[in-house]
Amino acid sequence: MEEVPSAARRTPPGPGGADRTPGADAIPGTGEPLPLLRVLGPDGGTMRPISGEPAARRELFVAMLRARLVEERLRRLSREAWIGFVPTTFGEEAALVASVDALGDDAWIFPSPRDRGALLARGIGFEPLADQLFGNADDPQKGRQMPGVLGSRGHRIACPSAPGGTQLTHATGFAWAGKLKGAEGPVGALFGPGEATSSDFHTALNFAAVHRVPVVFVGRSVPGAEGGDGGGLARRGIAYGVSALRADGGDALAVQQVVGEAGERARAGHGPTLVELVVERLGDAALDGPADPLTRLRVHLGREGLLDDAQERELREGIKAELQSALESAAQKAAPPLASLFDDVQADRPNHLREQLAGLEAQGEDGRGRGRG
Amino acid sequence: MPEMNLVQAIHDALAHEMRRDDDVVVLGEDVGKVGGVFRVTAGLYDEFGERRVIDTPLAEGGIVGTAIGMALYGLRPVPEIQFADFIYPAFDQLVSEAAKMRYRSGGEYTVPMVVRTPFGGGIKGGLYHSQSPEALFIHTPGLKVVCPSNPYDAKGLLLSAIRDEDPVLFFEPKRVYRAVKMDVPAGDYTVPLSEAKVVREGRDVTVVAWGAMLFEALDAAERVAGNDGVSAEVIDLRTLWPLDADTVVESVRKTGRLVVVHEAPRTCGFGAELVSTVTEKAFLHLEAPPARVTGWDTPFPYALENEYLPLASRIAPALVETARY
Repeated sequence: MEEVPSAARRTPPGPGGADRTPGADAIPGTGEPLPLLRVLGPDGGTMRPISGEPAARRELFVAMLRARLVEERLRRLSREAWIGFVPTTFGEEAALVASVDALGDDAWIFPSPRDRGALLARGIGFEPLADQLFGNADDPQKGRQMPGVLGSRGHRIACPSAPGGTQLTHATGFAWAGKLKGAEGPVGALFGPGEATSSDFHTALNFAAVHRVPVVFVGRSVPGAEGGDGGGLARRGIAYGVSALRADGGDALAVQQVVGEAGERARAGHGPTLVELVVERLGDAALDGPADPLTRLRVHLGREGLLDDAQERELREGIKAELQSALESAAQKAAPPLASLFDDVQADRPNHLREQLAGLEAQGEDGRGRGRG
Repeated sequence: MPEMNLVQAIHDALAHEMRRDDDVVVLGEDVGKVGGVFRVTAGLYDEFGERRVIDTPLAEGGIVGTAIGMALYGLRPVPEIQFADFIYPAFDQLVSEAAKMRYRSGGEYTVPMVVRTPFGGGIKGGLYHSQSPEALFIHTPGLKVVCPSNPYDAKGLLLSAIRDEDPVLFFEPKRVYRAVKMDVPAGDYTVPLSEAKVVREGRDVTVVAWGAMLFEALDAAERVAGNDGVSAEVIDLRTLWPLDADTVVESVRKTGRLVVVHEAPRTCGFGAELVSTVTEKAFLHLEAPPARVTGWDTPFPYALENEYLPLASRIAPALVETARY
């Protein structure tokens, strides 16, 4: 069994509750609690030493804020039927943004469909995002996927899909290929509690452990989540022979530390790590309250003199204006051309698709369908 | 020119391409140290090492899923599914991921992967070592489906498949593995995908087949030529999807009659699609209802295997009946 890393030792166990399996947070066989790393204290001070540039922590907050504001806007757009259905999530901004940040810009990321925070962490512009939401002719994915489900090769983020957990084996294979080619990695795989129960979780961890693949599995666990956390996440990594780390997923600096450490392990050739980030999914009443990961980092930045209220207001207004501009522009663009429906099934357009397109075009304008609502 | 059987031809294609292209890797259960349960990958581990000839855990979803990841990176993985009957745990990765990656990403991400798998019956394999699941994959947009019948085509098609930019299912008829030997060039050559081949010319009825049943179709054609005066034209599809419909339709325009032969169960087998396509494109040329000689709509049996398979003894009467309709 791998030695418990120093960064995670000597911290109190994580949030518990009657709905968790007894011993869920314990190392199998010993009953010893798996440490849960926390860095940010409730008063904004830090509970343990932090490294890195202060400016970088401010930038981290900005990225998390962008992720939050995008998510809020998506929910409104979806509810008001400007765009199709988008499942949104609040409270995971630190878990997503700080993870991707900690792995470094060279790391390829394999997210699940809701992990838009990864794209914002990498600095995706609002224009391609907005184009994708409306599925217009400028959508980099050519209007193929539901709103908000996108990757970006230019940002080293894989293209996600709805079947849960499939990205975990892709990440393992991708990191494995890198290892074969002498690249250091790591590769990051992001997933939520439901996906931790998938068959791909099992095969990905098994394959990664057996073949010592430089992949960092970053899983969010939600206390009491349906199908999820009842059995504990990090402890399952130990069972697979994978290093396991736990952190408070609402604490951006703790997330950075554990994921950064896991990334270093991968680079040093020590193989895969399973990182469990315990998060709380926030209802509207909890947003901007003490449990909100943005609030926790914001209080810290304020205390360190890195961000004040006026600056934060300006940031928010600026991001909202930028987003609004991108959305207005995207909403007015045309849908993708009809012929594009038949592109990218394979590299070229085979005969049967040429015939199908010809048949559709022969129907003329009436066959075009109503297009976007 | 060397003579090779199907196992040797496929092996030769893999070795050739792995020497030519460092990015080609082979992975699957028992492919490395054991050299494959049919010996197809024998010797590759010694030549290319454990980094490029990988023994995986027993999890088809993991084999295909990690291969997809490798393909996304830029490698050319050739994962093996030990028997097509065990492909189903990989079905999600094949259908939801490999098939749709290029489309859903607007072309940003692609999966140049070949999944090799022995398929078909005739080796006393019973329910789980004899299946022909090709229709499931033909029905999935984004996948190519290839099925060589003979060693020459197998090497050429496999090289084409590995060099193709899209995911390919490569079904190898295990009944033929050691049964047929023929001249196979030692060097580099390809057989293009999506090109069917007329392997026997005829006037009275078009027979379309693939895999091991191609030989049964040829056998039946010989019988009816001698016994019944029926001249059958036999087409080996070689690539099931995308289909070379033109070759089949051109033949039926000549003969006016079609018989399709496949081991897979009758209902919703690929024969149904072929009949439908030919009827659409050559309706006025048809002189008889198109016929299908297929496996029955049952799981694949052990003891009554030869009664299940659409062998020459069942194909021949169908040829005569269709020709004389």
